[in-house]
Parts: sequence; structure tokens; C-alpha cells
Amino acid sequence: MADYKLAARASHPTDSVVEVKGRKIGGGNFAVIAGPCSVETEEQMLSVARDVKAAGADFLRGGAFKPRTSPYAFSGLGLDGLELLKIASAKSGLPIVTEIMSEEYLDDFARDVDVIQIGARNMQNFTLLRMVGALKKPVLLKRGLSSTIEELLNAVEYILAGGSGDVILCERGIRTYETATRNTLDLSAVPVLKERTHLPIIVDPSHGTGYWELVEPMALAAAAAGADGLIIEVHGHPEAALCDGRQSVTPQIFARLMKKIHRVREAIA
Amino acid sequence: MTNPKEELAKLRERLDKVTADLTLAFNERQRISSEIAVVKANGNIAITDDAREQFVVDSSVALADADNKANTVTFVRGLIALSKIRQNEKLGLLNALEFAPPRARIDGKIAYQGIAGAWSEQAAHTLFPDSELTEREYFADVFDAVLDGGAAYGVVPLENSRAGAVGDVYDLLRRNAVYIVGQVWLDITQCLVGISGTQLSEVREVFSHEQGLSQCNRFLRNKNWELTAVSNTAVAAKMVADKDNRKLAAIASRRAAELFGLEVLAPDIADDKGNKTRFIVIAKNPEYDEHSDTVTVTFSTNHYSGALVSVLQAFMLAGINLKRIESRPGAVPNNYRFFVDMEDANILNPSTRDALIQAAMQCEYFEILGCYSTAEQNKI
Repeated sequence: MADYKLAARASHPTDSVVEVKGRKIGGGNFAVIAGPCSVETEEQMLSVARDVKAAGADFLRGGAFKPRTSPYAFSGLGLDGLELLKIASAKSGLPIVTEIMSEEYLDDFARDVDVIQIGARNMQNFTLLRMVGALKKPVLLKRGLSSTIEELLNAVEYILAGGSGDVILCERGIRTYETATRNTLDLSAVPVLKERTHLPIIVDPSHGTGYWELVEPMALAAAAAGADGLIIEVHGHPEAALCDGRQSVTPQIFARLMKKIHRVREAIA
Repeated sequence: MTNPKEELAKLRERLDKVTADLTLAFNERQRISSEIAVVKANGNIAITDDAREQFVVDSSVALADADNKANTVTFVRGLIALSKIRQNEKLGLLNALEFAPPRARIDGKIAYQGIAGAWSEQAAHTLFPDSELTEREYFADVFDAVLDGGAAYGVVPLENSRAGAVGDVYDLLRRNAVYIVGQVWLDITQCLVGISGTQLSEVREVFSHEQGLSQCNRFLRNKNWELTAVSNTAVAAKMVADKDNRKLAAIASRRAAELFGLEVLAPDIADDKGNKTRFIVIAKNPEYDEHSDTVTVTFSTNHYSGALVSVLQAFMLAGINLKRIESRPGAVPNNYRFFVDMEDANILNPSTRDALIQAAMQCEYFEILGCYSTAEQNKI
């Protein structure tokens, strides 16, 4: 018996379905989360929300609090960013997925965010995992960049034990010796996780590869591998983005990608 | 001696030649724009590039005659806008501006802010005489009611003929996915109301909304009455009725007097007899037809000199008058949003649509808030 009891497939033989404002992920339901790496301006968020919605996205992402490798890099608009996400969500009708960095803003996230994301760098911040779990809100947990699948499953156990039943796992690439891509996107994690847990699994081809040219092929591969959804960075002006512009796709590329995803999903059905 | 007709004909011949050359050059420019659109789409490059646009404008201005430089800016900005329209068309992206199809008027409650007897209630009753009204404490609650289905429509004030914009309502329009589907201008006729039979000489204290008191300055002057501001004119009338005291009076509407069993002690006491407030109807879906005559949009411009002019020019070229322009601060500092009412415009009209697309191409963000009729309703 695995150490992670609540996450284990054995404890819940059927696939779990996470439902947020009428949108479902898991158990055959495929959902796409799209939006810019970081929230920059009101108009940027409103425009991108309108574009990704038109292309068929189900959720709006955008970072208000950004974990950056360098303390001097743009670290997000903070609560102002959350405010802009709320406006874009209200106008587009798309629920919000955004990352929490510490318990400092737990109340704000509990009130305003539809799916609370715990990023790769916080995957084993066990205090945060427990506190977010206790909010009993949907959570998106990203795999740590040097974490094994077992460690990911043990981490999600903290959230489930905290009380939340709606957790989505996300493969976003791991640290290997390969430098041609930002990370090595471990797509084999999708079928491995499917076997070990009942929780929905989505893939982040933007962080997973670090290059916009690789986003589409890896998104299609993830869909073919049985992922329950995708999280993709979309920016109206990738070259002017304040964060991760190199891996962001324009709304045009995103719209084309969505059409292809649809065809892959039909092909493997 | 020169014959003016001959001279004009010669000049026109030269002019026509230039126009033909310009047209052919324009065709070529648009064809290149189509090719650029494909390269940008495949290359993950945004259609709009502010720095590149400025470069094109500056290079053209450098070529222009000294007395033609300003017009060259207008001309080249126009060309760039047309190029962006072509690129968006080529990529099938104008759909993002597609206004949702109209919905037929529905039955249901009408939400307004305040209590019965408030001016908002009177506006709601004027617009929907046969519907059940439902009151809400704040403007935001009226928007929520429309969005969560608690009401079919909401009626909120947008501007006053004296005081100008109702900023809170503009901000709520910016933040919420509602549409403007109708409007009415309501005459704000303030009356002094009190317990039946009260003589003006008996009155000692007058209650009203702050605005109600200030609108009747001249009437109140030298009366030596104590003036007390309360949250709403209807609330003031209700207080007087509840206290049943002849020393008290309120400045409120005739309708409030009727509702609370009070008597109009002095009618039409406002300093400005033409005081009006414009109320809009908000709904979850747009409603428009061939009788609609106003389009309200909101937009923010890019940050270069003349950015707003190039947006307004799109309306000018379509012959559309802008009845009202309001600028409001955005959700975070140093960010502004314009709200514009286009007169004699209708989304179903191709020239209005072209103007909207042209204007949108010049904006950082552009959104249509409503297409509706301003036809005068019956007033109470």
C-alpha cells in the first residue's frame, strides 16, 4: 500500500472529476487553461481573456504573484494583479487559475480565485499545502522541477488530507542534463500517474519546453498521451511580455493549436 | 487669357493620375499586408507593433513637404489602420469584435438602487410600467442581480445634466459583463413634502439627499430651517412620514410623497428647472434592432501622441457624432478608460460596423457596451 492513501487509485478506482463553475476536468473531460505568464495590465488581461475564450479555452490563467529565480526580476502585480484577473474573469466568464506563493494572501485567494495553483517551487512547501487544502477549494498542484512522481503524489496527499478533494496534478517538465529545452517535459508521467492515482492530470508545454515553437507539438503529444487538459501561456505581444515571452504563444497560434487538439482528441477517442 | 474651365480640367487630369497611382500603390500595400499577416501568425508575432508604426510615421513625415507634415501623420496612421484591418481579416480575427446577437426583451423583475419613491425607482417604473420592481442597497447589487438572474434588468443612473457622470456606474460597466439595452432621461423635479396640512411656517427641519438639498439652495435660503442629509430622497420622505411631525419636511419626488402619504407643500423647488438624470437599462444579453440609434463603447488607447485623435477620426470618417465622452481611471493607477456614446449609430448598419472596426484597430482595448434606442419614453 502506498504512503499516499487518499490520492491512490486503489482508494478510488474511478477517475475523479474536478468541476469548477460548470467546467469539468478528468474522467474523459478535457479542459484548457490559458493566459499570460503574468498579469500586466487591465487591457492585456481583458484582450487575452476574450481571445482565448473565442479559441475555446475553459479557464483563464495569469500570475499575480510570481516566483522568479532572480529577486530583481518582475515579481508580479500582487493584489492589483488579482483585481485585474477578477475583472477579466467577470467580463469573459472564464474561471481564474492563479498561483499562491505564501499563506500571507490565503484569505484573498479563498475569496477571489477559482482554482488555486501551487507552483513547482512550492510543491513540497508542506505548510502551504496543508493550509490550501484546508480551504476546500479546487487546487492545481504542479510537479516540482526535481521531484519524482512518488514525491508529487505524497505532496498532493497533504492537500487531500487537509480537506480538499478537488486537486488537479500538472506535469511541467523536470530538470535533466538536457539544455536544448528549458526543462524536459516528462510525458510518460501522464500514463504513470493515471495508473497510480485517480486525480486528473494536465500538462504545461510552455514551462515544460520554454520555447513557443515546441508548445504546439508537445501539447498535441500530451493530449495523445491521455492528459486531461493543458495549461498554456498566451500573450498578445510575446516579444513585449514582462515574463517568459519566449515560451508564450500569440492568440493566433493558440487558436490554431486548439483546433488541432480537438482533432487529436477525436482521433484517440 | 486662360480659361478657368480648361485649367481646372488639366489640373484634375493630373489629380486623377495621382489618385490612380495612389490607389494602385494602396492595393499593393494591402497585398503585402496580407503576406505579413501570415508571416506574423506563423512566427508568433503580434499584429500590432507600436515601435514599427512610429517608425513608418516618422519616415513618411520626413519625406513630406513642410506644410503637409501634420496631414501626413493622419494619412499614414490611416494607412496603418487599414493594414491592420487587412491583417486581421486575413487571419479571421475580426470575430473577436463580433457583438453578441440580440436577445428579445424578457419578462422578469427590474432591479434598482434605493427604496420605493427614489428617483431610480421612478426611472425603473417609467421604463417598465408593467414589471415588478425589486430594490437593492448598492449599485453593485443591481449589477449582481442582473448577472445572477435575481432580476431580468437593472436601472441605474449614468449621468446628471448638472453634476455629470455617475462614476460608480461607469466603473461597474467596466468591470461587469452586462450590456446597455435602453435608457431614459428623467426630469428631476424636486418638491418639498410633509404631513398633510403642514404650513411652511411650521417647518423647522428638512431632510433630503445631499444632492436634493444642494439643488434647492435658492428655495431654502433665508428659511432658517435645519438641513439634514440622509442616504436618499425617498428615505427622507419616509422618515418624515414615520415621525408624523409637522415640524419636519423632506425634499423628494412627488411620487415619494404619494407613496408615503405625504402632501406636496411646495412643488418644483429646484434652482435649475431643467435638471435631468439619464438612467440606463442593463441586461445580461444585448438587445438591439433596426430602431436602435446609439452605440456605447469603451476603449483604451495606445500611448503615443495623437492616439486618441486616430480613434476619434474613425468615427469622424464614418460621419458619426459622438454625443458624450467620459474618461475614467482604470482599476490600477496611471491607466485610463474612455467611454463614448455614438449618436445615430446602429451595430446593424454597415457604416457603423466599419467605424467600430477602424476605431478598434487604433486601440489597445475596445469593447462594445450596448446598442439601444434613446427614443423618449413617457414621463410620469
